Amino acid sequence: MLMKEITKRFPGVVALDNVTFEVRRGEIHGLLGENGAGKTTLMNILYGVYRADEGEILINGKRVSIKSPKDAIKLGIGMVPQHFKLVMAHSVVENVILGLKEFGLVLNLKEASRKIRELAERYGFRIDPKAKIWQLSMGERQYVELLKALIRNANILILDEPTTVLTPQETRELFKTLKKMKEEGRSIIFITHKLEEALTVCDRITVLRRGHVIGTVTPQEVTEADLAKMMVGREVLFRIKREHRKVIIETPILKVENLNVLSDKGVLAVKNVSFEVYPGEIFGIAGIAGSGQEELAEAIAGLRKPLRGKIIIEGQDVTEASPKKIFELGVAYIPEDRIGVGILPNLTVWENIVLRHHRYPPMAKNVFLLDFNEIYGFVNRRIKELNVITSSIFAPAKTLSGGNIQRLILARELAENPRRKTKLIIAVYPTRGLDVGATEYVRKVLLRQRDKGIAVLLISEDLEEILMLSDRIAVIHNGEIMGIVSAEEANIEEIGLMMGGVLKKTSQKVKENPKT
Amino acid sequence: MVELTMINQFLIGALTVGTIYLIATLGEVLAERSGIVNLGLEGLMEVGATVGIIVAIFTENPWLGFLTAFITAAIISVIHAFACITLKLNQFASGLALYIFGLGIGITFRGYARDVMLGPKELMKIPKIRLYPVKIPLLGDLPVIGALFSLNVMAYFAVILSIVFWFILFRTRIGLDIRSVGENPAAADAAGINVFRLRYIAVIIGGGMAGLSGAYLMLAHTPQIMGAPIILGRGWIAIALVIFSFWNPLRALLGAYLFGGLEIAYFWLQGIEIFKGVIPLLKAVPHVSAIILLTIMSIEALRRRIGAPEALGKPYSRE
Repeated sequence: MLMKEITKRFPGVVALDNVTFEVRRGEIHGLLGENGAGKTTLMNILYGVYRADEGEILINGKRVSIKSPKDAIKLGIGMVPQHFKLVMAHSVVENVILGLKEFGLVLNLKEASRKIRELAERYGFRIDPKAKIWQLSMGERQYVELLKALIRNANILILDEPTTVLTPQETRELFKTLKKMKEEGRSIIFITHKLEEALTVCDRITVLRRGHVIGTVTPQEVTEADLAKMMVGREVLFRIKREHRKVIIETPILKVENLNVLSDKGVLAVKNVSFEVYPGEIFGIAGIAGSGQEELAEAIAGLRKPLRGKIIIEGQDVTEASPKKIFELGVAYIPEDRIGVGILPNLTVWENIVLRHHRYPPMAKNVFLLDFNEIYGFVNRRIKELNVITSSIFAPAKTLSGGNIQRLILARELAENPRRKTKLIIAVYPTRGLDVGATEYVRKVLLRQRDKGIAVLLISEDLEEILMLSDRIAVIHNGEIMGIVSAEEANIEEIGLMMGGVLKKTSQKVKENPKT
Repeated sequence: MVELTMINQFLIGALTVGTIYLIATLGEVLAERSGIVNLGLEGLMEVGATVGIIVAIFTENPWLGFLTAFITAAIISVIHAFACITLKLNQFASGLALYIFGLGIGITFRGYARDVMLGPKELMKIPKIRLYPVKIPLLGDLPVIGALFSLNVMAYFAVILSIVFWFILFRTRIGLDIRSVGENPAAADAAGINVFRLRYIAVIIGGGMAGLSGAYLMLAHTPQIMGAPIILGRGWIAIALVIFSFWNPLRALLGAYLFGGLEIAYFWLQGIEIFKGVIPLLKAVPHVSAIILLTIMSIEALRRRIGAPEALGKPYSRE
């Protein structure tokens, strides 16, 4: 498969500039690049979602025209998208055969199930064809997406950031499966931004940066640092320097006791969770996305009423308190859904920054009137402090880039006044989808706040981020805390097992840990 | 023996009236399974009633009445489909507009037909074109369950339709496609299914069914030509019954006949002195339960729990 001199322009940007990308039969080819480097765009062209403005695609030396995903499927191209496209309420078999004609107008589900089991066996994984998607773990869902491609006889498989939702163990299993597919002569395009993975599993790696191919290399000839340099264009510091802080364990800022929270679906998402967060520490919660972290954070921020249990902030019981009350106590909330919850996209930058502060003096002159001099001064100070890049404070917030939206949220949530000092930051997936620069910035802000003695509750699916930033780490699986470990004794293998629900540390050990 | 005949009569009534609900509910189940709510049922039923009776009178053939009622309502539903699927407008707003539109033209034309088009000669034909119960020999004479075999042809047809709808939705490829489109149109689209076409088809057939239901009410239950509403909220109840049936055509049978039974019950109780006071309350039961069911559906969390199609009410656009 060869994509030759592909150029794709979007209004205002050249997403891909003269990109040539070649994949051989029976290889795992890594496609590496930062967010916005053009990886996904390139693959969407191959899969027929977009059409290239210039360039051609050749498969087995023959020029092909791919106008839609249907054409791509016919040519044997399969895609496992980053965000799974599965019908949650339907079974595995129903999802796999969706859109296929070979199982008859009156569906022969038995035959289809048999075929699914056969395929699963061949590639060494297990799946119950009758199980509903919502009952499956993220790793299993990924296999369903893989099955969809396999049953359509995909010879070129595109996997878009497949490991973000997996535990380290699941990742290893996936790699085994991929290797088996490779041995059968299938080609696999593995999109990632994790250097280590690219080096372990790929036969060759192509690095993209801002729509250009920087080079194609084999894992033997490069190191992680080389790849990072190719990706970013400059040397990258791998570890943010951090000294271990002595956590003062006497008075917790946040205390969660036997908390139980329901999800939107009405199932118990958080089960009997207890932990404490102390001033000047980053308390990381590791776990696969969807293990109850979002519900936990929402409960603490006052956005979701807990079913049972207690939430205590600085000695005050806030289990039933409103988000406003919790905000007034000095809690900063950086939500998972940046655009939907974090900002009001259609309102201006200044409105978004002053929001939540506008009801208190000095922003409010009295009950009715706002003091605009005060507000504009405040907004400009906040923008400067957090380097929010915007054309004007009167621009709608939705016009900002992802990184700048996150800075805007930080600017608002971390703002202090004599009455309200920030004491606790709840950061939910704070760097998800941000580029390297913005990620670095957000992490630095969190560390700086910690150093000021603020407690940080960090929820992330990026294990590396958790290990890099946290002083203590709790691992959540299926709504339960599997164990709490301190950063020094954290061991990626053990955390992985806890994320997968295989290992559970006793609560006794948990109590001892803070003393380290 | 008298009691047995009474029960028999009651069941026949319940099943006959229940069929009005059943036909409309089935259509709405289909549309909602594809992800589109059609709040215009009531209006479409008025149109179907008008078209059905007028065509039946002029052709002296009730079946042509049913057919034209179905086609007319289906054509009107194209407006709703276009608004919701192509223009991606708010389905509730469009459905309400359709309701008012259908109600208006349905009643107006019925009044116009009575005053201008139909003379006494035509009106005399009404008893002739009416659908009467057909008693199946032997089975129809059985006590109580004989009622099941003493119905009009459309009532049987509606039962067959529910089975057919269920089979199509849950056992065939097309059904899987429709359900997937209603649950996760992006996934269906990625699998090569034409989301827009399928939704159009579901909304149009669903709307046509509402027309059929209106015509059935006219031709099998209460044939009359007046310039006044005759559906009287049954369309709204049918929408609520979709929820009651958990979007399952077979469960729709249960809900439809239950509400049919309620309607007959208060019709009968009216004649009994001691029940005079409670009749208005009884009459309110279907409407109150409709409001409760519709409220339930508007609560996101509950909606998910009872298994509403995930993408219900949401327009789909390719990103």
